[in-house]
Amino acid sequence: MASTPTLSRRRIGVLAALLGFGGLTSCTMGTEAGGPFTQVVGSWRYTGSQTAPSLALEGTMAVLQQDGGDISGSLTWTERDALDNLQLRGAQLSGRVIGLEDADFDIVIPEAGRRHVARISANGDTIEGVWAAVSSGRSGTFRAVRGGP
Amino acid sequence: MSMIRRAVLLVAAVGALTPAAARAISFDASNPDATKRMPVLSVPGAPRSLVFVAVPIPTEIASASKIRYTVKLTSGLEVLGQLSGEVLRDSLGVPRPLFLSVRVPSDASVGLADVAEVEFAVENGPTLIVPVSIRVLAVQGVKLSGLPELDALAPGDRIALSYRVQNTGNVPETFAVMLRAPLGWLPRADTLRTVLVPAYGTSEIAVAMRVPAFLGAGSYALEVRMHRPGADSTMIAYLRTGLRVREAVAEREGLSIEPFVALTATGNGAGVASGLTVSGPVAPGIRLRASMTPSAPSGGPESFALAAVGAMRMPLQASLDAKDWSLALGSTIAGFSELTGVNASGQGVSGTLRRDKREYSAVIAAPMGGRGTSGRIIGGSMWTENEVGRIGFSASMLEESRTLSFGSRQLTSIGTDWVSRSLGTATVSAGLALRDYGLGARLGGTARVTHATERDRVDVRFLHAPGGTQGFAIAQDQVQVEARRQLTDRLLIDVAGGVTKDANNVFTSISASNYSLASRFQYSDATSIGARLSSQALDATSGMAGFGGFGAEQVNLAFTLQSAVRDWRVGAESSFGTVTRTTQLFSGGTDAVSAGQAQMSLSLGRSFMELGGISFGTGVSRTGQGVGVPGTTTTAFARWSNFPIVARRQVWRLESEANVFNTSIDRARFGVRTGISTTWRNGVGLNASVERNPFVRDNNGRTGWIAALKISVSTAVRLSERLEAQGVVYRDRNANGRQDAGEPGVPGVELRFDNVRITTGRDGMYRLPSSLRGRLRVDAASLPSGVIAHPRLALDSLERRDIPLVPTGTRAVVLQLEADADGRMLDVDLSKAEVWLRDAEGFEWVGRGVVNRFVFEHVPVGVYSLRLNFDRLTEPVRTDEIAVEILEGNATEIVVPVRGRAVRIITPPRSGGRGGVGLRGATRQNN
Repeated sequence: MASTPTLSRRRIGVLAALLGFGGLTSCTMGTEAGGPFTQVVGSWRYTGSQTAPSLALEGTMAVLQQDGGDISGSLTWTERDALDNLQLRGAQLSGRVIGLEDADFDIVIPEAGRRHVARISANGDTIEGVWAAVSSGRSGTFRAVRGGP
Repeated sequence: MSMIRRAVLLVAAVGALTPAAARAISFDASNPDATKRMPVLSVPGAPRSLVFVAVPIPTEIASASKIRYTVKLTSGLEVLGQLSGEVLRDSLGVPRPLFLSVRVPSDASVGLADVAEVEFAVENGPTLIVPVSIRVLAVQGVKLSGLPELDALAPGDRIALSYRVQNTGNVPETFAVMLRAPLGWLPRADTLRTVLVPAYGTSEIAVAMRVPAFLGAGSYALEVRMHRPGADSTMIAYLRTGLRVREAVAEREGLSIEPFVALTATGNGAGVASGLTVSGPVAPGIRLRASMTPSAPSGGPESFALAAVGAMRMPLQASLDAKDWSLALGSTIAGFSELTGVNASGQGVSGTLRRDKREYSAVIAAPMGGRGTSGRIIGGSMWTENEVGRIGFSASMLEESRTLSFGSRQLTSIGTDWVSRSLGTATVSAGLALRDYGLGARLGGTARVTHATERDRVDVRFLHAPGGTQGFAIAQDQVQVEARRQLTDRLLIDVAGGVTKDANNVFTSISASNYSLASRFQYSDATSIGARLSSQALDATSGMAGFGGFGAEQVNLAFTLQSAVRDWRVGAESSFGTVTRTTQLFSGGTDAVSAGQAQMSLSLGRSFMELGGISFGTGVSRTGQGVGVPGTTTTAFARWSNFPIVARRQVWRLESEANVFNTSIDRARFGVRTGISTTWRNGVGLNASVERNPFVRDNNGRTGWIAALKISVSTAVRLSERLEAQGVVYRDRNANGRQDAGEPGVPGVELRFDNVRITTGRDGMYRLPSSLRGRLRVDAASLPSGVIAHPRLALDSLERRDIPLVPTGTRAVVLQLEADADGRMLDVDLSKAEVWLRDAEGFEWVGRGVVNRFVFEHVPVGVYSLRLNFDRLTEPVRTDEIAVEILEGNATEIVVPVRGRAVRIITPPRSGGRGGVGLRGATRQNN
């Protein structure tokens, strides 16, 4: 029986480091939009739905920081399916406010991040739009109203 | 002994007694009565070796015309060669050294061992004596032996085990022996002992244990590891004694009723939840399962806390399952076919009935979704199986209206599906349905072709379902292609791609595509390296007033490494790519952003036999502005699962997890969770969890600790039964199906019939409930290693009560190409051959092949005929008739010569030739 080569721990470590370093050094920066931005920092009541399978979404969206158009925070929400089963989820929020009327942010879920694209109301207290997960193909609508649950 | 070693020893021998040394001893060479002892000639030698000793002729007498020598043995060492005679001279007249071969015994102790005294005498001259000795080199070795398995233990048993440490080296040694016992069997799980073993001696290690009284049936082990004390902790010997705890019982499973109550404490205050689960048989062959958690709080951190202790809110759900039918009440998910409806669920009744090769299913339910949801879920399907495959017919009337959500969806459809039987390496399926989703009836179709061999797999899927998700389908149009090929034994290539298009109330159109090219290289048995290039794209146009559309394109290159280093699992991943996003703005313009993404992560994991599993990892990622979490994000986690804690004879299981991540736009966030659970013998169970999750916020938007405690009581309703009939499970050593003298009973074997579980006692005997009728089934998982249930049991039509287990063995068959008579070797790939064994009763055992070596593992002992199928080879070959005998344990491999086979070549008759059709054959030797 032919012998198989073995990989030492040192080689594994070096290889992993090279792969990672190669990835990091190839990173490029994106463009940044300018202009005035609607301030969205605060707590928002989040409701929404998923098209198929049917899910009702309900939770709290907290925008904790805003630097120009860049926003970050967290979203805690429950997913209720048609069998009335509940699943509670929580994830980081990160994205942009584009000018005064548009928002484009991600809910960073490890298995399938959800991109939210929305309109901001003229008085700035409602963000309403759609979301889609590229990798899973799931999509739906959402509405965030300023103020606690 | 190698030539090099012999040469070294020879040189050493010659050098040990130099002429200068000989001259150093002065004596009167002319005196014929003088006798002189020369310095000792010593050479090194290892035990169990043959040492060549060259004894030089002392210079004092080298000039003498005739020198006689006599070898006088001074110890028990064996010296080969002529022990007396006259010293020979070379062509120049110089006396040649005397060569002796000394056999060093295998049990020679380290140090100096006398061999012989060589006397050199000359006529009328002195006699010189050269003592010869061997410096026996030090050799270390150890052998550990003991009982490999101890069976039929019962809680409370006292065990006395003895392990034998044999020092196979020639120096006394001290060994450190680490005994690792299951928790609770010894005062301490790890016990270190030190033993001094003389050279070639043995020492016994006695271990006294007690099976914990609270222990349940199962397999445990005592591990013995040996190493030499000191800095080097390398293990030099290892032995594992399997400890199998069994109870001789006959139990009929009863209905289990388990109510629970759960308490929660979060930033929103305290909460209480309760629920009930009932499961088990309610009649012969019929099982019930019902559960509901009616009073759990909905949503919020309470749900997180309840989920952690297994008390998630569940609506009523009940089912009855029998061999030929099943019935469900409450929550139900309807799935008829890809065209007549998926993703339809609600509250109602569903059932399935199986008769011969037909299956009928039906469901009637109302969709659930909270306030404002209405509609109906009605449908049914029928499947039948015949010589062309499986054919199904289904029809559905589905409607779901949600006033508080994104609207309604509906479908009325009728369709048919077909799944072929295996067509060689391919399987084909297709479906057709008429779908009315509210905008008129349209025809939809599906098709799928799958081709699979040992090394290749191709899967092509097509779907056209008018209405898409709006009409209870997974999409409107979808094409997916996946192909995989094992290029070599080590290299795997995987290609995939697909396009999905859909439309619904949210998006007037949404299309997604994905393509990937991946490869995995198996560097060694423990290490694999993977690379994957992938791209994804999404283009969505919103159907909601005031919204435009958005798109995304992503290209990514990832590398992965999986390896096992000692007992640790190591995983590393690195990827980088770009993301381009477009957003149609409210103003009508389009915003675009492009960013790079890179990440690398490393994870380690290991399972400890008695300490559960531990894993930890870390990762770093960097993303450009505008996509995901911009900047650098670092993460780390540590996890310990299933850690047992024994307190007052009660085993508790502990799980803990901690993680942290830090981003450039946010402060470091820490999360931690720990949970503990146990179940007492009286059925009372406790499960507790405490967690701090940075993403879970209470009603005031604050993060904090959340805790839950669940207490359950499991009560089994069992009927007492009289045990009457008796049988035995025995080791059928000669596999004749009868218990002969000397064939002992096998303890601890589990037999099952319906919901009755029977375990054999120490003598292999068991008793059955008096009401039980029918064939018993042997639970293979309960069998000791090296035996299986007799294959003949599968043919039984009677209720066999004495059940034979046959010992098994492993043997390999190697196909070896042999040259033809003219010396030419066949050019065929023997890995494509099919090899199996057939016993006298027609049972067949298939070999697991790698290239030309086919291994038959765990085959019952006996004589088999070797069956071969060479149809997939490129040239015809033949072998001799061969019988293969399987012996208990492992046996030497069998080499089967494979030669070319003479074939008949059939030439079609020439056109215009006379006569009818006939065989015009010639015979050739395959080349």
